Amino acid sequence: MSKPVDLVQGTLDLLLLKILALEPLHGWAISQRLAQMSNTTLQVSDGSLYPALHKLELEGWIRAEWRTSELGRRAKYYALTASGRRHLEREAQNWERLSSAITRIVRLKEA
Amino acid sequence: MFWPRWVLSLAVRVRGVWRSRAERDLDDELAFHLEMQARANQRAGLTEREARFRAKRQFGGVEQSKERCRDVRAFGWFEDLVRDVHYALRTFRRSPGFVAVAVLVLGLGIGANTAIYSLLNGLLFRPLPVPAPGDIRYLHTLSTRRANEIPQAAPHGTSLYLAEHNDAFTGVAQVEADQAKIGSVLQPMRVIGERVSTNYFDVLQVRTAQGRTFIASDDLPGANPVLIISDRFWRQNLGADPNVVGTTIDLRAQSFVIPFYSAHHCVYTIVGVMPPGFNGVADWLGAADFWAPIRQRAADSLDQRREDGAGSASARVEDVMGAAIVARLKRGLTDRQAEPAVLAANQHLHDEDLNDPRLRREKRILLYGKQTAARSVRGRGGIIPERLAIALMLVSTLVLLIAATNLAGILMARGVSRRGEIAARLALGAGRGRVARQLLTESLLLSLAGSAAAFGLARLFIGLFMAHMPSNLERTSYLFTTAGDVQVDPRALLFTVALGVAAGVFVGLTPALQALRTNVLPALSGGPGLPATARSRVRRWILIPQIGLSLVLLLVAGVLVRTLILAEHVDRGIEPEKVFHATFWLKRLPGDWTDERRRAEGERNRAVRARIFEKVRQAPAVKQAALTDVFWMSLNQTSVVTRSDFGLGQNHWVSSSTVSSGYFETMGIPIVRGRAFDVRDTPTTTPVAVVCERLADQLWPGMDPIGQYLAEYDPKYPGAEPTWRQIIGVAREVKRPGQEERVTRSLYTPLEQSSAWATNIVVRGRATADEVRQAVMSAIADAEVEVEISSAATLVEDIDRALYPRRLATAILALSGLLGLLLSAVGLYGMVSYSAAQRVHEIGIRTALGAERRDIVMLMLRDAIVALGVGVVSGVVLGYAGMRIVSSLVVGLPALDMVTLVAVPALLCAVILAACLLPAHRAARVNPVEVLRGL
Repeated sequence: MSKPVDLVQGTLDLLLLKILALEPLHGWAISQRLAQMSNTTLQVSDGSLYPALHKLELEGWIRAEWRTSELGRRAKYYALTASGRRHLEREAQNWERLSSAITRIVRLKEA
Repeated sequence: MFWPRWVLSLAVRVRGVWRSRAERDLDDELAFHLEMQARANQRAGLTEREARFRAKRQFGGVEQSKERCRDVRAFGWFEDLVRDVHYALRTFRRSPGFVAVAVLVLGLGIGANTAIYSLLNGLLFRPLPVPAPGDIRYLHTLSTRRANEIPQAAPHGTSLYLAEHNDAFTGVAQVEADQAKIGSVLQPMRVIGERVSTNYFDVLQVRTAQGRTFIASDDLPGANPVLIISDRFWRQNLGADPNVVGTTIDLRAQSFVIPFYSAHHCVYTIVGVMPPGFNGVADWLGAADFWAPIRQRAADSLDQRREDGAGSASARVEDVMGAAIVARLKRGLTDRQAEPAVLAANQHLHDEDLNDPRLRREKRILLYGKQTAARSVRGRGGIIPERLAIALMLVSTLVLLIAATNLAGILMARGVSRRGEIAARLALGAGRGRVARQLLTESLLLSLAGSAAAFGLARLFIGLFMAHMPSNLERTSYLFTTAGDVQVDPRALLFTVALGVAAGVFVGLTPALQALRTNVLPALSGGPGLPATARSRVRRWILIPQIGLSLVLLLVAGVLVRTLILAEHVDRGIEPEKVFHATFWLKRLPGDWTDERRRAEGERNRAVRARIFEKVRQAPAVKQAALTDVFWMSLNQTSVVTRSDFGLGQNHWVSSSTVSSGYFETMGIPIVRGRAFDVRDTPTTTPVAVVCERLADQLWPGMDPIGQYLAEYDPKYPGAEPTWRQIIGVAREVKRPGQEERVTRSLYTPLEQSSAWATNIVVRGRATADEVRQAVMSAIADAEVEVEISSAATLVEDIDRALYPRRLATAILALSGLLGLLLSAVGLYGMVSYSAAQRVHEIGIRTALGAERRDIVMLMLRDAIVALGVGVVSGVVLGYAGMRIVSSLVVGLPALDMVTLVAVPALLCAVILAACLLPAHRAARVNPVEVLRGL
């Protein structure tokens, strides 16, 4: 297995928003989903996860709600807001453009 | 993170003290995560304990994570703010011209305003710099017999009574205006101060900046005389000596026996210096520079009277300790509740007066109240009439409004030009709210910078004005009150800064709101953002009030300036250049003042003055000299009668003066009929007099006044047979500066035929006034007699001093008007140039399609001209109304001044058009090829 890649803050935001776009989740579930979906290529330390979530909440892109969890105790569930959805779209587009540009260059055959 | 770690952890720890809900939530959230992970670990096969341990390790640092979450919450908005500020500063660096203009506009607008408010506040309203000034009350007495009398002091007994028999005041103190002379006899200086009870400062609740205030023992009989001085006095007269406390100063008094000067000295020890800005409460003589205990001063004046031979041995100190009463109402009490105490004091006063034979005929009452803002309960209050001051404040507010609309225009134009940048930021993912916040931060920064500039400018303006104020050379003209310390009034500054910031924020909202609505794509590609009609509509909305306001300002200012200039050049009836005058008094020889003594002193006086006069006349720098008994600016009222009046019992009031021959030549007063006094008029020849034209017309209408007779006589006090004087000449009217509207009827009688004391010498010099001054001073010094000069000035200085208030008003108005014009021109220049920058593509296309340069210029100017037209029309209409209002406030203005009404708008149009032509021309010179390539 390849070494996990460290994520830059901005891209982490993008991933979190995308994950929450699919369905509302609490923090632990998000962390599990992230590892799952990237085939564990991407590793986010849990210590960085929560500050990132709180930041997104502050910016108004996600909304938090306390609900009773499967454990019986309460947990904080996050969901995407409308402005978050818009932000996600923009960010995703930018990412597409950026990554395709980089990919093109990297794939250039050496003469 | 640039905050030091310890600050952060401190903040966190502080917050940790209160286990707020946010904290509990954070704990719960992370605890939940750990538990879920532990369970997952258990399912994978670990024991419970191991699972928990492993979960913690997998998480990383729990506490650190919590801290980072807290940071996000706590400092999120603060970080944003700092980032906004940095971004704003970078933006400013890129366009320094714009920033300079914006800051300048705001700085001038707010600064000029603050300066004017502070000056007017300091010169006119002079608020009492004590805590809770609204609780201060004053009591004076008023005689019920005579109407229109100036309020007088309350007797000492009444003050004591009130102090002891009241429960409405926290303290009752006495204060009375006082004056003294310091310095040498040849260069005395008059200082104004107050004599106060020792609890005065306690009642006012003010403390000294150095030394101490009075204590009760300072005013006991026989105590060492002590003095407290003002900050201004300490700086100007004592050179801000840091060891001033403990030094002594000799206060000499005004003589009781005119025209001799008092030789009485009293040495006071300075025990304290008041902080700057405090100049007492007794306003009737002027701003106070010293405070002395009342009993001490009273005892002093009794001693002086005795020394001068005018006192009576039986006089009591308490009798001369009358003073106004100043009291502090207890917090929360109304005047109603103070009434019983005041009524009781009134009764006490009445009872006391009954015992005093002099006062039994008059009934006095105690007047109680707050002093008004104009503080002219006694005397004449401030330098500038209140209504004029209000007019001036309105004018300066107009300037501020112009500056505000200017700034609005500039910021809006800039907002339009930054659409591209804003669109780019939005495309890169910034939230609209963030962008709007950032724009607001920019406006706020500009406002703050402008306010800082304003503060500096205000101090500069005030400093300039204070430096040009005429100095405090005596001559007791109660119409002229010297000003206390004028500093930048904190309230005025706060108000104008708040206004400036509000204007900045409000104006910054528009581009911010624009940003929220920007369509990213078209803005990014550089096309026109707003439709053309919206653009010009918005621009006109800003321009028109600006032009209108400037015009109103200039019209009002123009009218007043013209009038003031006319007033300055009016024919005064004298030729003031190179004329110097001095008042000097001899020292009286000791002894009782009997009639015999009076005659002897009169002789000695005459001899000494004649000697000095001759010396002065012979000095080479002197062309002409004369003697007179009154200072030319004062009005000595006398009652006169003509022969026909005498029979009818009528009389006329005139202002008379006794002058030596040569007076008219020295002063430059033309004699229009007959002759002036000369050697023919001696004590043995016919008594003669000279009248002024207006008086002649009034006394003998239609007849030749030469040869007529009049006498100084008051039918109310018939005494000996009046001395009839023959009129030998008619002189031109003398218009005293500052009183041009006043009708003065002047009568002149020759010194040789009168027993008046000639205390003034008037000298016309050949060269400069300073040389004349020197000549007079050395003549007096040579006379080897002790002489005190109580005032010395040139006529030009007198005129300057009297005209100062009007000149101040003119200067303020003219500057405000010009400022308004400058701001408008700058604003409109900015608008046209930004508009030109915006419409570069359009211009390029038009030029490519064949438009002439002139057409382009006209296109650029069209909006400006329309705005100018509407602005000028509305400005003229409003300005006309303003002119009418101002003419009703100030005496001596013509009702309608066509010249100003036409010239000023023309000037405004010319300046503004010139300002707009520059950028318009530049726009027209755009190369269409380059522009089109950019599309």
